[in-house]
Amino acid sequence: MAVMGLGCIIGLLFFLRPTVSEFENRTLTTYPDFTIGNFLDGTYTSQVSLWYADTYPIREPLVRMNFKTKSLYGIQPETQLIGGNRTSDELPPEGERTTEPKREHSHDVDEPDVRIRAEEIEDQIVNGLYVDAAAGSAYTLYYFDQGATEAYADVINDAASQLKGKAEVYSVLLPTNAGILLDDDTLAKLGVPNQKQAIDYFYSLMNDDVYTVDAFDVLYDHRDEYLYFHSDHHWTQLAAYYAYTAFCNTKGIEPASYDKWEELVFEPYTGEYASFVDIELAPDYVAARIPQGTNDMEYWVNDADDSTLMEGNVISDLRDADEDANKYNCFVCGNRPFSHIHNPAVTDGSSCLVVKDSFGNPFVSVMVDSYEDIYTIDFRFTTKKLVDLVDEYGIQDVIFENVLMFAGTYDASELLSDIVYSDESAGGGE
Amino acid sequence: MVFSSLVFLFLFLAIHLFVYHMVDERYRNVVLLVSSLIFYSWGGPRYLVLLMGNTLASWGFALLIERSDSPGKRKLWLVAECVVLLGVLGIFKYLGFFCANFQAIFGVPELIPEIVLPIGISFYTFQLISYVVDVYRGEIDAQPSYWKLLLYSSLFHQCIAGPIVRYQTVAEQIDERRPTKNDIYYGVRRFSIGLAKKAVLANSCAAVADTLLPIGDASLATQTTTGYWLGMLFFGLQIYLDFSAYSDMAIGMGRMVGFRYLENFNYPYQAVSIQDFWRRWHISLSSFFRDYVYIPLGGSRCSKAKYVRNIFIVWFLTGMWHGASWNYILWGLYFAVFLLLEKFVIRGRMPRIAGHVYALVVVYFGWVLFKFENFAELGMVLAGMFGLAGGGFTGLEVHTLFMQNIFLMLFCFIACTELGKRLHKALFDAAQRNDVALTIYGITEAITPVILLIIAVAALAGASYNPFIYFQF
Repeated sequence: MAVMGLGCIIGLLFFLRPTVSEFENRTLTTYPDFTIGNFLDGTYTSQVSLWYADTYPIREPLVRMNFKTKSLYGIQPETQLIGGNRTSDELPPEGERTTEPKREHSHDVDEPDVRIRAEEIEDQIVNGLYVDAAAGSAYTLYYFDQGATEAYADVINDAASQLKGKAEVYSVLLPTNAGILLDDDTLAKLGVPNQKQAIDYFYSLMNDDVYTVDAFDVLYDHRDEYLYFHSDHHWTQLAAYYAYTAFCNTKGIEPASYDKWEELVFEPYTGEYASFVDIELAPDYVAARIPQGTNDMEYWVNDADDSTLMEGNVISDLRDADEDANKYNCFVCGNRPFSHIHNPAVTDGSSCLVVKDSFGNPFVSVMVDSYEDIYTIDFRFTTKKLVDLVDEYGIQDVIFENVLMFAGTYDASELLSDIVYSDESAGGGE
Repeated sequence: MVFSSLVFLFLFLAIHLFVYHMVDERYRNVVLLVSSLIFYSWGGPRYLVLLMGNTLASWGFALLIERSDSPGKRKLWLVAECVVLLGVLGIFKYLGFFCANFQAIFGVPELIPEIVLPIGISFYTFQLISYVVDVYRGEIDAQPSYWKLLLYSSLFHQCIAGPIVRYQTVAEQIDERRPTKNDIYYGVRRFSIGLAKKAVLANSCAAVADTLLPIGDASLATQTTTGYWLGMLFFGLQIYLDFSAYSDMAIGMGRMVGFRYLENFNYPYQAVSIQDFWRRWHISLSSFFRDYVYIPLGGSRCSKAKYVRNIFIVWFLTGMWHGASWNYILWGLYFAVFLLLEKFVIRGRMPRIAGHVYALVVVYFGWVLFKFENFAELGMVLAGMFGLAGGGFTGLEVHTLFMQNIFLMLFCFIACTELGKRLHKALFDAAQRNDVALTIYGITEAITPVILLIIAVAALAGASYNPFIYFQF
């Protein structure tokens, strides 16, 4: 009873309630809004329960303790597959589809739905995780889904059609760490496709209005370098730079020189795999170079509310951050729904809009020197419409950046649909 | 609200117990009733009306039965009680099921009503029916106070997840109860065991079972043979640990305030036959059907044909109680077949060890029927278990899960037996004779609930996964 009493008192210390979990690398649940409707149907109290547990003042150490306790449940095998009961569709020949392009899409941005789907996308991280204890690394697998692939290509094609004559559209599809670092035999044993072939298939479904960027080959050529973290599904800024050179090659511009930029190193860095696997992962660090043009940027915490505009840095200095801090957030202030970087060193009026997931954060950071204005939307969190942004800011290049594990899901194409299709076009006929 | 949540543990229960023990004895039932109504309303207050209405009907019918002199009228009020309560249960739990079947055969109705199942309705409906039947039989007096009957039906310890507490078990305790320090200690200890069993063991087993057997997901078809077997093994562990944990917590919370609920489980996986299993599993439900359906139908003191009929009726209803789906009915009838087999063919001649293995195998496959409401999935899993799995014989994911949870599995096996209880008794006996044992016993008794609570709280804090299977019933 004393424990319950103590727990009750701690629970009442509202000022100690955390808002983020460093260990789980996520924002914690916020207190729900009260309405008569959500009270009567039990949603309100259910959300209060979730909020109470999720922001309990000593939750973080309790979560760590639970993680340690779980390590006693069994033995960690040398190679592991987590959440891998999935099958990959057979990769068809390039350009071959099983369905006609869809002409009806969802259009309205429903905030709660978007959040839920965004979370589902995040779940992909552990929906097929291969662990190699000997290498001290985990790898995110990619399972090919024919229908989801076609849906993704349809949205990109429609975006290019809408923007024809206004802006050039680029597609940058990125492999996961498994696609670059695991050999073909291992991938075949795990029943997952070669990611180079998968990306080529994606691109083969895109029409001629879309410029496709071959980032796979350049990454594969540098696979012996530090391209991916051992403890996280994300890539390093160095890998992002190589992808950027591939983009420059497609666009026909000279890439900025990575060697000239000042480097900051943040260590130690422990990524998200560490909260899912119980093996000793090889140590990581985040190396971030500051582009020459500028290190200043602005971003919106909520892009539907201008009062949430904040100033930040393209590369935040996290050398003094806590050991547990998510240092991948040093790039472009983390996952923000909308942000803008103005580079005064470039005065040619060039501008681009990067439609990105979290892999886009270091990617945007290395693009700074190539444009006067870089706008970025995170397709999971934004409420903006693509055409509106292009019109409002006179954007010349629209770059869709997605890692395969996200691009290959229906959630991704649905979230992108919310950005691409205008509310007026509801009912189809894009 | 679920017992295994921080908001229940640190907000609701802590404040409830504090207030309960602070107020004058005269107001303790008020505190219990108000707490129970808040608890029930937490999942949405709209179904509170149903609980209060059903209780009002039962309260009225019981008084009418008691005050009626004529047997005909008494029977009439009893029938009215059953019609009202089973009618409400039928509408909220089975109407969609009946309509779907009717539609499949006759093509109508066009629309199948989608009715949300009010939480705990199966439990409190049976409690109230048992109360009125017992009044009808003259075994108990009708409760003159509506509020006290509402306290009985809504008591948060057992209202939404059982056990099905008979009114006669708690009739006197509603009016007078004086929990001793030992009662409070026992209650806290039992609650802590239940909470840890649920939060640590059952939820962990559930995570493995759901990973291997994702209902409604295409990946269920691509599981391996070993994946199906392992998944069902963990499901079998989960369902026992989950449900018995809730009963432990209910019994513990009741004891903290002076209620003594009967045991609902008696190590069912130690059973040596199916009959034995059902004497140990969900005892309050089995005894309800025994006392209110099976025996009134004639029980076993009748012709062989009638006995077979009685068994099939009881097990049809038992299956149906668990859910409005054919797989539950099939599950109930499946046990009826084995009970008849034991009665007429085996007749107690199976050696104990063989009987134990036989019971476990039958129960194991029973859980396969129980888990999958969709017959296509059910068939797929059964076929997959016998070599026709889409994913082949085994795979890396199954190996990973097996190795990562091997100690958990072994611990759960032990938790399903009475080994812990026996060790506890042995230590207690030794403590009567030996000072060292007494010291060890004292220390373990003092720290066990605390450690279990802390481990359970850590598990709850770290897990968003916290379902309770029996809420659907």
